[in-house]
Amino acid sequence: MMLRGIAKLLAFLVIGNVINQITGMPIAGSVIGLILLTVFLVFRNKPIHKNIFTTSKLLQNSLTTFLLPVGVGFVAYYEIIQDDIIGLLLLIFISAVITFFACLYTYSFCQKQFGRTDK
Amino acid sequence: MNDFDLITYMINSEYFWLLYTIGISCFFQFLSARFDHKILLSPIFWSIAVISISLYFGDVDYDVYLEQNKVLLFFLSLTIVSFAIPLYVNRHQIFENWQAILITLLVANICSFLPTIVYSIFFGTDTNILIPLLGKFSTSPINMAISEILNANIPLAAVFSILTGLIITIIGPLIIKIIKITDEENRGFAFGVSGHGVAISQLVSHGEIVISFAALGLILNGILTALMMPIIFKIFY
Repeated sequence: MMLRGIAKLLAFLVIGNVINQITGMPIAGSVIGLILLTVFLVFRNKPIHKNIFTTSKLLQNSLTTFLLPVGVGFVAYYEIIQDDIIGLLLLIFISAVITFFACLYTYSFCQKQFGRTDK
Repeated sequence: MNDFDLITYMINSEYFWLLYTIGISCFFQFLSARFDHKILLSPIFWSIAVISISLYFGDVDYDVYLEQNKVLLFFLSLTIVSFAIPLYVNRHQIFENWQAILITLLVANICSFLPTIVYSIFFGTDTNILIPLLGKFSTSPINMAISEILNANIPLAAVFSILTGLIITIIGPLIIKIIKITDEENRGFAFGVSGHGVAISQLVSHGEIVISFAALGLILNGILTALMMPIIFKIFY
Protein backbone atom coordinates (compact mmCIF):
# COMPACT_ATOMS: atom_id res chain seq x y z
CA MET A 1 0.00 0.00 0.00
CA MET A 2 2.56 2.49 1.25
CA LEU A 3 5.08 1.12 -1.23
CA ARG A 4 2.83 1.89 -4.20
CA GLY A 5 2.46 5.50 -3.07
CA ILE A 6 6.23 5.82 -2.79
CA ALA A 7 6.71 4.25 -6.22
CA LYS A 8 4.34 6.76 -7.82
CA LEU A 9 6.00 9.76 -6.19
CA LEU A 10 9.42 8.32 -7.00
CA ALA A 11 8.44 7.98 -10.65
CA PHE A 12 7.81 11.72 -10.85
CA LEU A 13 11.01 12.45 -8.96
CA VAL A 14 13.00 10.35 -11.45
CA ILE A 15 11.32 12.02 -14.43
CA GLY A 16 12.08 15.41 -12.87
CA ASN A 17 15.73 14.51 -12.35
CA VAL A 18 16.07 13.21 -15.91
CA ILE A 19 14.54 16.40 -17.35
CA ASN A 20 16.83 18.45 -15.14
CA GLN A 21 19.90 16.60 -16.42
CA ILE A 22 18.93 16.61 -20.09
CA THR A 23 17.98 20.28 -20.31
CA GLY A 24 20.45 21.59 -17.74
CA MET A 25 17.63 23.69 -16.29
CA PRO A 26 18.57 25.55 -13.11
CA ILE A 27 15.50 24.10 -11.36
CA ALA A 28 15.86 21.08 -9.08
CA GLY A 29 14.51 17.73 -10.22
CA SER A 30 12.22 17.48 -7.21
CA VAL A 31 10.58 20.81 -8.04
CA ILE A 32 10.10 19.74 -11.67
CA GLY A 33 8.58 16.51 -10.35
CA LEU A 34 6.23 18.50 -8.13
CA ILE A 35 5.04 20.66 -11.04
CA LEU A 36 4.65 17.63 -13.34
CA LEU A 37 2.64 15.69 -10.76
CA THR A 38 0.32 18.69 -10.21
CA VAL A 39 -0.22 19.08 -13.96
CA PHE A 40 -0.81 15.34 -14.28
CA LEU A 41 -3.39 15.33 -11.48
CA VAL A 42 -5.21 18.36 -12.91
CA PHE A 43 -5.45 16.79 -16.37
CA ARG A 44 -6.57 13.43 -15.01
CA ASN A 45 -9.12 15.25 -12.83
CA LYS A 46 -10.10 12.25 -10.71
CA PRO A 47 -10.10 11.85 -6.93
CA ILE A 48 -6.61 11.07 -5.67
CA HIS A 49 -5.89 7.40 -5.08
CA LYS A 50 -5.83 6.50 -1.42
CA ASN A 51 -2.33 5.04 -1.32
CA ILE A 52 -0.61 8.12 -2.75
CA PHE A 53 -2.69 10.33 -0.44
CA THR A 54 -1.73 8.41 2.71
CA THR A 55 1.92 8.28 1.70
CA SER A 56 2.13 12.01 1.05
CA LYS A 57 0.43 12.82 4.37
CA LEU A 58 2.87 10.54 6.14
CA LEU A 59 5.88 12.11 4.43
CA GLN A 60 4.74 15.67 5.11
CA ASN A 61 4.15 14.91 8.78
CA SER A 62 7.75 13.74 9.09
CA LEU A 63 9.23 16.72 7.24
CA THR A 64 10.91 17.97 10.43
CA THR A 65 12.90 14.75 10.75
CA PHE A 66 14.00 14.77 7.09
CA LEU A 67 15.40 18.27 7.56
CA LEU A 68 17.65 17.36 10.47
CA PRO A 69 20.73 15.93 8.67
CA VAL A 70 21.16 19.12 6.67
CA GLY A 71 20.25 21.36 9.58
CA VAL A 72 23.07 19.79 11.54
CA GLY A 73 25.42 20.76 8.70
CA PHE A 74 25.35 24.27 10.15
CA VAL A 75 27.90 23.19 12.70
CA ALA A 76 30.20 21.75 10.07
CA TYR A 77 30.08 24.98 8.08
CA TYR A 78 29.91 27.43 10.95
CA GLU A 79 33.41 28.73 10.18
CA ILE A 80 32.25 30.16 6.85
CA ILE A 81 29.70 32.49 8.40
CA GLN A 82 31.41 32.97 11.74
CA ASP A 83 32.66 36.48 10.91
CA ASP A 84 29.32 37.99 9.89
CA ILE A 85 27.04 35.97 12.14
CA ILE A 86 25.45 39.01 13.83
CA GLY A 87 24.88 40.82 10.52
CA LEU A 88 23.35 37.70 8.99
CA LEU A 89 21.03 37.12 11.92
CA LEU A 90 19.90 40.76 11.81
CA LEU A 91 19.35 40.55 8.06
CA ILE A 92 17.25 37.39 8.40
CA PHE A 93 15.24 38.93 11.23
CA ILE A 94 14.55 42.22 9.41
CA SER A 95 13.62 40.66 6.10
CA ALA A 96 11.38 38.14 7.88
CA VAL A 97 9.44 40.95 9.56
CA ILE A 98 9.17 42.99 6.34
CA THR A 99 8.00 40.02 4.28
CA PHE A 100 5.44 38.97 6.87
CA PHE A 101 3.92 42.46 6.99
CA ALA A 102 3.96 42.74 3.21
CA CYS A 103 2.13 39.42 2.88
CA LEU A 104 -0.62 40.32 5.32
CA TYR A 105 -1.28 43.77 3.88
CA THR A 106 -1.02 42.84 0.20
CA TYR A 107 -3.37 39.90 0.61
CA SER A 108 -6.06 41.85 2.47
CA PHE A 109 -5.68 44.74 0.01
CA CYS A 110 -6.14 42.38 -2.94
CA GLN A 111 -9.16 40.74 -1.36
CA LYS A 112 -10.85 44.13 -1.02
CA GLN A 113 -9.77 45.09 -4.51
CA PHE A 114 -11.19 41.98 -6.15
CA GLY A 115 -14.33 41.99 -4.05
CA ARG A 116 -13.79 38.85 -2.04
CA THR A 117 -14.38 39.98 1.51
CA ASP A 118 -17.29 37.59 2.00
CA LYS A 119 -15.24 34.73 3.43
CA MET B 1 34.70 -6.90 25.85
CA ASN B 2 34.08 -4.12 28.37
CA ASP B 3 31.47 -1.33 28.34
CA PHE B 4 33.63 1.08 26.46
CA ASP B 5 34.06 -1.37 23.57
CA LEU B 6 30.31 -1.87 23.35
CA ILE B 7 29.69 1.87 22.92
CA THR B 8 32.44 2.14 20.33
CA TYR B 9 30.97 -0.75 18.35
CA MET B 10 27.55 0.85 18.48
CA ILE B 11 28.70 4.28 17.36
CA ASN B 12 30.68 2.81 14.50
CA SER B 13 27.90 0.56 13.29
CA GLU B 14 26.40 1.41 9.94
CA TYR B 15 23.09 2.94 10.97
CA PHE B 16 23.74 4.26 14.45
CA TRP B 17 23.52 7.95 13.54
CA LEU B 18 20.36 7.39 11.51
CA LEU B 19 18.74 5.81 14.55
CA TYR B 20 20.05 8.62 16.73
CA THR B 21 18.62 11.32 14.43
CA ILE B 22 15.18 9.74 14.20
CA GLY B 23 15.15 8.95 17.91
CA ILE B 24 16.04 12.50 18.98
CA SER B 25 13.49 13.90 16.55
CA CYS B 26 10.73 11.66 17.91
CA PHE B 27 11.65 12.55 21.46
CA PHE B 28 11.39 16.30 20.92
CA GLN B 29 8.20 15.98 18.89
CA PHE B 30 6.70 14.01 21.74
CA LEU B 31 7.79 16.68 24.24
CA SER B 32 6.45 19.47 22.04
CA ALA B 33 3.06 17.78 21.61
CA ARG B 34 2.94 17.12 25.33
CA PHE B 35 3.30 20.85 26.06
CA ASP B 36 0.84 22.09 23.41
CA HIS B 37 3.39 23.13 20.76
CA LYS B 38 4.87 26.00 22.71
CA ILE B 39 7.52 27.96 20.83
CA LEU B 40 10.32 27.26 23.29
CA LEU B 41 9.98 23.57 22.54
CA SER B 42 10.27 23.87 18.78
CA PRO B 43 11.35 20.28 18.06
CA ILE B 44 13.46 21.11 15.02
CA PHE B 45 15.58 23.64 16.91
CA TRP B 46 16.29 21.39 19.88
CA SER B 47 16.91 18.31 17.74
CA ILE B 48 19.50 20.16 15.69
CA ALA B 49 21.12 21.50 18.85
CA VAL B 50 21.33 18.11 20.57
CA ILE B 51 22.60 16.24 17.50
CA SER B 52 25.19 18.94 16.77
CA ILE B 53 26.51 18.82 20.31
CA SER B 54 26.65 15.01 20.20
CA LEU B 55 28.59 15.09 16.93
CA TYR B 56 30.98 17.66 18.35
CA PHE B 57 31.73 15.78 21.54
CA GLY B 58 31.74 12.38 19.86
CA ASP B 59 34.30 13.79 17.40
CA VAL B 60 32.28 12.46 14.46
CA ASP B 61 33.00 13.73 10.97
CA TYR B 62 30.01 15.45 9.35
CA ASP B 63 30.54 13.50 6.12
CA VAL B 64 30.30 10.22 8.02
CA TYR B 65 27.09 11.42 9.66
CA LEU B 66 25.61 12.56 6.35
CA GLU B 67 26.52 9.27 4.65
CA GLN B 68 24.52 7.32 7.25
CA ASN B 69 21.55 9.70 6.99
CA LYS B 70 21.35 9.63 3.19
CA VAL B 71 18.01 7.88 3.28
CA LEU B 72 16.47 10.91 5.01
CA LEU B 73 17.67 13.11 2.15
CA PHE B 74 15.95 10.77 -0.29
CA PHE B 75 12.67 11.12 1.62
CA LEU B 76 13.15 14.88 1.65
CA SER B 77 13.11 15.01 -2.17
CA LEU B 78 10.12 12.69 -2.18
CA THR B 79 8.30 15.01 0.23
CA ILE B 80 8.74 17.96 -2.15
CA VAL B 81 7.10 15.97 -4.94
CA SER B 82 4.30 14.93 -2.57
CA PHE B 83 3.31 18.58 -2.03
CA ALA B 84 1.51 18.30 -5.38
CA ILE B 85 -1.33 16.51 -3.57
CA PRO B 86 -2.50 19.34 -1.23
CA LEU B 87 -2.05 21.70 -4.18
CA TYR B 88 -4.43 19.57 -6.25
CA VAL B 89 -6.91 19.08 -3.41
CA ASN B 90 -7.18 22.84 -2.78
CA ARG B 91 -7.26 23.80 -6.47
CA HIS B 92 -10.76 25.36 -6.39
CA GLN B 93 -9.88 27.68 -3.54
CA ILE B 94 -6.69 28.65 -5.36
CA PHE B 95 -8.50 29.46 -8.59
CA GLU B 96 -11.01 31.61 -6.70
CA ASN B 97 -8.26 33.71 -5.14
CA TRP B 98 -5.69 33.60 -7.90
CA GLN B 99 -5.22 37.37 -8.26
CA ALA B 100 -4.63 37.94 -4.54
CA ILE B 101 -2.33 34.93 -4.31
CA LEU B 102 -0.25 35.90 -7.33
CA ILE B 103 0.19 39.55 -6.35
CA THR B 104 1.01 38.68 -2.73
CA LEU B 105 3.59 36.16 -3.88
CA LEU B 106 5.31 38.66 -6.16
CA VAL B 107 5.35 41.38 -3.48
CA ALA B 108 6.63 38.91 -0.88
CA ASN B 109 9.41 37.77 -3.19
CA ILE B 110 10.53 41.33 -3.90
CA CYS B 111 10.45 42.07 -0.16
CA SER B 112 12.56 39.02 0.58
CA PHE B 113 15.13 39.64 -2.15
CA LEU B 114 15.66 43.38 -1.59
CA PRO B 115 17.18 43.43 1.93
CA THR B 116 19.56 40.64 0.96
CA ILE B 117 20.69 42.38 -2.22
CA VAL B 118 21.22 45.66 -0.31
CA TYR B 119 23.17 43.75 2.36
CA SER B 120 25.37 42.03 -0.19
CA ILE B 121 26.15 45.33 -1.92
CA PHE B 122 27.25 46.91 1.37
CA PHE B 123 29.13 43.96 2.85
CA GLY B 124 30.18 42.08 -0.26
CA THR B 125 28.85 38.69 0.77
CA ASP B 126 30.39 35.59 -0.76
CA THR B 127 28.09 33.94 -3.36
CA ASN B 128 28.43 30.71 -1.43
CA ILE B 129 26.47 32.34 1.40
CA LEU B 130 24.46 34.73 -0.75
CA ILE B 131 22.48 32.13 -2.70
CA PRO B 132 21.12 30.35 0.39
CA LEU B 133 20.31 33.79 1.85
CA LEU B 134 18.34 34.85 -1.22
CA GLY B 135 16.27 31.70 -1.16
CA LYS B 136 15.62 31.66 2.57
CA PHE B 137 11.86 32.24 2.22
CA SER B 138 11.42 29.06 0.24
CA THR B 139 11.05 25.89 2.26
CA SER B 140 14.36 24.23 3.22
CA PRO B 141 14.26 21.34 0.72
CA ILE B 142 13.61 23.71 -2.18
CA ASN B 143 16.22 26.19 -0.95
CA MET B 144 18.70 23.32 -0.71
CA ALA B 145 17.86 22.24 -4.22
CA ILE B 146 18.45 25.79 -5.47
CA SER B 147 21.82 25.91 -3.72
CA GLU B 148 22.76 22.53 -5.13
CA ILE B 149 22.03 23.68 -8.69
CA LEU B 150 23.84 27.01 -8.30
CA ASN B 151 26.82 25.32 -6.58
CA ALA B 152 26.39 27.06 -3.24
CA ASN B 153 26.58 25.75 0.30
CA ILE B 154 23.70 23.29 0.76
CA PRO B 155 23.61 22.91 4.59
CA LEU B 156 23.62 26.69 4.99
CA ALA B 157 20.51 26.84 2.80
CA ALA B 158 18.68 24.55 5.20
CA VAL B 159 19.89 26.51 8.19
CA PHE B 160 18.84 29.91 6.82
CA SER B 161 15.40 28.59 5.90
CA ILE B 162 14.93 27.01 9.31
CA LEU B 163 16.10 30.20 11.07
CA THR B 164 13.63 32.29 9.06
CA GLY B 165 10.86 29.88 9.95
CA LEU B 166 11.75 30.02 13.65
CA ILE B 167 11.73 33.84 13.66
CA ILE B 168 8.32 33.93 11.96
CA THR B 169 6.99 31.34 14.39
CA ILE B 170 7.97 33.57 17.30
CA ILE B 171 7.06 37.05 16.03
CA GLY B 172 4.20 36.15 13.65
CA PRO B 173 1.49 35.69 16.30
CA LEU B 174 2.59 38.95 17.96
CA ILE B 175 2.32 40.90 14.69
CA ILE B 176 -1.09 39.43 13.95
CA LYS B 177 -2.29 40.44 17.40
CA ILE B 178 -1.06 44.01 16.88
CA ILE B 179 -2.52 44.70 13.44
CA LYS B 180 -5.65 42.57 14.00
CA ILE B 181 -5.91 40.50 10.84
CA THR B 182 -8.83 38.13 11.34
CA ASP B 183 -9.15 36.57 7.89
CA GLU B 184 -8.04 32.93 8.14
CA GLU B 185 -6.93 32.57 4.53
CA ASN B 186 -4.78 35.66 4.88
CA ARG B 187 -3.16 34.57 8.13
CA GLY B 188 -2.41 31.09 6.88
CA PHE B 189 -1.02 32.32 3.60
CA ALA B 190 1.31 34.83 5.28
CA PHE B 191 2.61 32.13 7.64
CA GLY B 192 3.15 29.71 4.77
CA VAL B 193 4.92 32.19 2.50
CA SER B 194 7.28 33.61 5.10
CA GLY B 195 7.58 30.91 7.74
CA HIS B 196 7.19 27.69 5.70
CA GLY B 197 7.45 24.22 7.24
CA VAL B 198 8.72 25.27 10.63
CA ALA B 199 5.86 27.74 11.13
CA ILE B 200 3.24 25.36 9.76
CA SER B 201 4.18 22.71 12.29
CA GLN B 202 3.23 25.24 15.00
CA LEU B 203 -0.16 26.14 13.46
CA VAL B 204 -1.93 22.94 14.45
CA SER B 205 -4.36 24.69 16.80
CA HIS B 206 -5.42 27.34 14.27
CA GLY B 207 -7.89 25.29 12.24
CA GLU B 208 -8.15 23.65 8.83
CA ILE B 209 -8.34 26.74 6.60
CA VAL B 210 -5.27 28.35 8.14
CA ILE B 211 -3.24 25.17 7.67
CA SER B 212 -4.31 24.49 4.10
CA PHE B 213 -3.55 28.06 3.05
CA ALA B 214 -0.24 27.91 4.86
CA ALA B 215 0.61 24.78 2.89
CA LEU B 216 -0.43 26.56 -0.27
CA GLY B 217 1.77 29.58 0.54
CA LEU B 218 4.70 27.29 1.25
CA ILE B 219 4.38 25.39 -2.00
CA LEU B 220 3.72 28.31 -4.33
CA ASN B 221 6.40 30.50 -2.80
CA GLY B 222 8.85 27.62 -3.01
CA ILE B 223 8.10 27.08 -6.69
CA LEU B 224 8.23 30.79 -7.50
CA THR B 225 11.53 31.25 -5.68
CA ALA B 226 12.97 28.19 -7.41
CA LEU B 227 11.97 29.66 -10.77
CA MET B 228 13.06 33.24 -10.01
CA MET B 229 16.34 32.66 -8.20
CA PRO B 230 18.48 31.63 -11.17
CA ILE B 231 17.15 34.61 -13.14
CA ILE B 232 17.70 37.14 -10.34
CA PHE B 233 21.14 35.73 -9.74
CA LYS B 234 22.07 36.17 -13.42
CA ILE B 235 20.84 39.77 -13.46
CA PHE B 236 22.57 40.99 -10.31
CA TYR B 237 25.78 38.99 -10.10
